[in-house]
Amino acid sequence: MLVAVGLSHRTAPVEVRERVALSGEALEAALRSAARLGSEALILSTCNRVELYLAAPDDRATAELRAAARDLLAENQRIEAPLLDTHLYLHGGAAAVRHLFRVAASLDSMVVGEPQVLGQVKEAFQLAQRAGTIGPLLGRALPRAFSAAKRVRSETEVARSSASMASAAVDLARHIFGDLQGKEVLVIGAGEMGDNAARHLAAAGAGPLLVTSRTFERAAELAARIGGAAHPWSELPALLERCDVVLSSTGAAQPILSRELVQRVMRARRGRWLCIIDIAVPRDVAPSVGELENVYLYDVDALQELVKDHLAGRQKEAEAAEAIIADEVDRFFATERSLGAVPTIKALREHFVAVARAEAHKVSGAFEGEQNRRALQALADSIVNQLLHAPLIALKHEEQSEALAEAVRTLFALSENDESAASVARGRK
Amino acid sequence: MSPVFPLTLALYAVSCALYMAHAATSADRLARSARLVLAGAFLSHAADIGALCLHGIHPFVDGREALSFIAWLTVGAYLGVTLRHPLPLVGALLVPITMVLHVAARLAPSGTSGPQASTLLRLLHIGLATAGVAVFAVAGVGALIYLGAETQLKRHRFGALFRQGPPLATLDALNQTCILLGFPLFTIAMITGAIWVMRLPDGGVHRLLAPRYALSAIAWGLFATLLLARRLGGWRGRRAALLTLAGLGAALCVVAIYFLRGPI
Repeated sequence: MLVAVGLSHRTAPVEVRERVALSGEALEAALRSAARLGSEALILSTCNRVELYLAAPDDRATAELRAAARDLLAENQRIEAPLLDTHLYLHGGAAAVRHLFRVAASLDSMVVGEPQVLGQVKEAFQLAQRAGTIGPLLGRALPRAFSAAKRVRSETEVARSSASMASAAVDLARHIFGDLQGKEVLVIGAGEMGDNAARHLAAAGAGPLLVTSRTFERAAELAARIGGAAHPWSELPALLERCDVVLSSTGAAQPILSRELVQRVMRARRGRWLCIIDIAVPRDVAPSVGELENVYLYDVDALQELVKDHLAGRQKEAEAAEAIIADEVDRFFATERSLGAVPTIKALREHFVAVARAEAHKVSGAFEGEQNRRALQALADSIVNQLLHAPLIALKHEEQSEALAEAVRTLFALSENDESAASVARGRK
Repeated sequence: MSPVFPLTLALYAVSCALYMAHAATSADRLARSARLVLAGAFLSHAADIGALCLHGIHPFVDGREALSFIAWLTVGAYLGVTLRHPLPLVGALLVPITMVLHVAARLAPSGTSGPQASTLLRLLHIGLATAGVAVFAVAGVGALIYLGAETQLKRHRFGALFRQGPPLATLDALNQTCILLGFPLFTIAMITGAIWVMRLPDGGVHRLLAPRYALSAIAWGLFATLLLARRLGGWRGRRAALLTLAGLGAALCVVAIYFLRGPI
């Protein structure tokens, strides 16, 4: 069965999320450790969530998996396990599949309908595939999750009408500056979120756009994409002095804008307002920067606070999207059920065919000629097919097909393939 | 009491209700209607003052008339500001205050003018002072809204003031405009007032040490500091709002002293 253990913006503040966020080598190492917990593993680590998806052998293992996953996250990020415990959630079986589908479809996102999370789930899947931690269960669940996400995007207005993190950033800047015409925007880091928010600000009239990153080439690439100007990292203090809005989304493990730096900058700015949107997790800006006069600092949690009102307004679309998710979960389990019954179906057919052919063989002496004996065998096979038609349909499609398969295996003493049939069937729990 | 007083009061009340309804619903047509009704109230209030003038009770005859005149000028200043910055939230706060001031002025007992009532210098002093305080009152209301909106922005509490309030930059620009406009009026009022007091039969420097003059000087000093700090120190936003409220507080204390004292 599938198990999902993790924490997200719904259960943990950014102070906790930034401590357990995984990237690069740490993510790969954690993935290898996770694979030892379950037979299959995938880790999704974004600015809003860190989740482990594991294939567990049975129900009893879920509690142990939760504890093991907690220890894994705590060990990697040196965070106290009891603190982590209060923020972790656990989904098992159908709930885990539904959760995965909702995450991929951006229904569990801080900004419902935002497009980035689907790409992040795909990246996590590719990473796990390269690491060899994807097995049959995750190998079927993830593509189905992508398909569900695609349906939600194309069949509902959730994505189109969504208030994005980027538009929330524009909203905040407008509440400070009013007209954004001529307001200089500094983009720190070359991530996708910064790119998106900068485009929204530019569309609202802000500009020029200034881009800086530790790697100048990446800054230049982003600047070319959004029509801005790239600047070397060493110019950061000077850029902070001239800009009005800062968008920060680097992958730095420690804050890059300290209180002391911003304090110096604000003195040079002679008190001009500075709006800082920190969409990085871990955060790029020290929280105490927000206490400085005329500095307005917003992290991802603050943006969530701003956009949550928009969610209520999209209730109808959200309901339609949830119906799609429910449908896709049903389809996934229907497939799982049919796959789970395959060994039983195969064994049952082989058993019936063997009995029929044996009986046909007994009476074949009474038939002269090869042609007649082949006709006899065909008759036996045909009788088997007709007798098994309804039971096989039931085994493939009935809700209780697992119980049926069990009954069939018992009734016909089909013990040889029990283990393989059961192992596949467990995936659907 | 002027016969147009009930009409003025009714128009202020309707405008106030419309501004409140706008604050609750954000419907633009309510804000437009509120401004239109307020303009009607402003004209009616002018007729009210004019009618009293015909009976020899001009705005500077005593504290209560001056108070009513301040209320009228404040509304005028606000309507002037709305030509450039449509700030319905400022109206929602300002109109009830001016309405209360107007009612208080009309219901307070009438004072009698002193022997110096007709002095041109005195009329100029009181006229400019009341105009200055009226403009500062608009700045003060803007400052209050600024502080509320800024607190919500800082604390990430995105409530009604955040959703419906004007941007911080607009409120700060309103503050700057009002102080730039009100300060020269108030300064000339201070000078003419000092000369007038010095010329009184019992006048002299000692009269300038009375609390109301000292408070006027403090208010002037605070607004002067604000202008200088804006220009030289780059002060804006919260500091400017707090200094404005302090200056307005001192100026309103002077008005209150005159109001309670009766004849000017």
